[in-house]
Amino acid sequence: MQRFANPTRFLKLAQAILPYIGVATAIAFAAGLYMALLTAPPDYQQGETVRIMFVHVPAAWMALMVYTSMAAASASAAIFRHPLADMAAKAAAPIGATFCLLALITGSLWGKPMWGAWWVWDARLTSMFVLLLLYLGYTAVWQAIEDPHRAALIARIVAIAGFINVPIVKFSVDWWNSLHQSSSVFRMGGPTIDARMLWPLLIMALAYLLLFTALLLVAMRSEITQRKIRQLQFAGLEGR
Amino acid sequence: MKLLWALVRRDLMLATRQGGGAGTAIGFFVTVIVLLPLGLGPDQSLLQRIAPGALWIALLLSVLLSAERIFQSDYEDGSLDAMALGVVPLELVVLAKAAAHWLITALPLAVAAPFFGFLINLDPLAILPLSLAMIIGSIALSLLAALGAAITVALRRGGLLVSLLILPFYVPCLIFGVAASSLSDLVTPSLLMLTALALASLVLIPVAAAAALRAYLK
Amino acid sequence: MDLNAAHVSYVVAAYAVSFAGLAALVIFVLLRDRRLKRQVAALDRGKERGHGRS
Repeated sequence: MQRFANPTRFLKLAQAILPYIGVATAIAFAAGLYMALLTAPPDYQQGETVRIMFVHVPAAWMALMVYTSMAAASASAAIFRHPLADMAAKAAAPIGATFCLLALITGSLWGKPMWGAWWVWDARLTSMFVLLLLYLGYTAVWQAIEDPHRAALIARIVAIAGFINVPIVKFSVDWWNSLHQSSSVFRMGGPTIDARMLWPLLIMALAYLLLFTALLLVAMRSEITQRKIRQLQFAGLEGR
Repeated sequence: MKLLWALVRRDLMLATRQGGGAGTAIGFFVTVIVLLPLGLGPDQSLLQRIAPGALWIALLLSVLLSAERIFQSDYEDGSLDAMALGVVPLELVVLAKAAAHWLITALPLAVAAPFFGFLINLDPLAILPLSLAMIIGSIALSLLAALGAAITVALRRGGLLVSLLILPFYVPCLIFGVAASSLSDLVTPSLLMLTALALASLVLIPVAAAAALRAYLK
Repeated sequence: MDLNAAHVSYVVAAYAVSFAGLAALVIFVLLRDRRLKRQVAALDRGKERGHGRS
């Protein structure tokens, strides 16, 4: 990791691998969509609506994975003072938030035909909603604090604290549902998944992951550029 | 220890002299509870069913509303800088200020809530569990409010951001709190969960809040 | 995929929203990067010319 601490070296590396990741993303999406829409069989119970799983689950997985990475990056920034870690977390936030929002919307579209309701307060949905709030809060911190160094310090705390909260919220809502003995033991996709459905799911998940990687590299490049602009602007003011 | 108590007493004195904080919170609490039956209709059985949840939500929002005050005046006049450089670790300063906030705002509301419960037909059997749960839960609520206040202490319109940041943490407190306020037993597993949250907050929040304050005090 | 099955509209909507959302994200990230690149290039030129541009 220390090798990538130098922004210039990081930029060179990003520049080199970005085209390959872009191509891999396109291929993964093409293959995944083909399998999801054409070769995967309709579900015995859900019919064609099970295909929503192939865009919903990858989005949800990514929403969680990205936030975990943000918390890990924030911790690494706090402990090891890795110079690019704060930047990586900041760059990842809007991407993760988009995945989270897509997970919620597609989940809703899946829920209506399946359970008859656009929204239910079960543990998974509630924690995904709380996750969206956490993403928004994290982004708001960067927007609200002008000094980037100070913003980074506060953002780290918010990311780590939020990360601790996610399992607590999920546990508490599970508890709450079990107390009220509601029939909300919603199983998405059933207990065991057919291999013909597993492959499209994994490939779509891979496609989402590759997309995230590509976008993260570009977003980090933007952050580095923005830092450079700030430095130039300060130098310009002093130079007069 | 003596210094901590001095800090708490100082905050209590300032609060009683200035008024403000606690009054706003109590006023807000009462407003919510009074508006609730007016908005939901006079169906007594409905009100009784929702009473614990409503009281908890009112408590939550009232505590959150008064959060900004916790560090603001001391930050603005430089006292917080002095405290950060002083003998007492900033983490304990945070604990003292959260304790003062709890004594002024959250605890009185938690104690008074069951009495306002009669306005929304709270079951008398639920009064004791509700009080106990609220007294314990309000510790976590005050600490979390202090965290929100520390994160936004220097921001001008920090109030909205505090709500956005702290509400996700209030969700488990609310869930366990309401579950613990039911009629069954005085000490339920939910109450134990709530206590665990309060204890965890006592340990973790001062560390996080102090780190946030240090970011602003540099 | 059987396009006449029940609830197909939900499937179409889900895929359409996902595509639109991801496309918007990609466009946002790329456009922002391009805008910042232009900005830093302009500042670099200003510095070389001697008079600092703000």
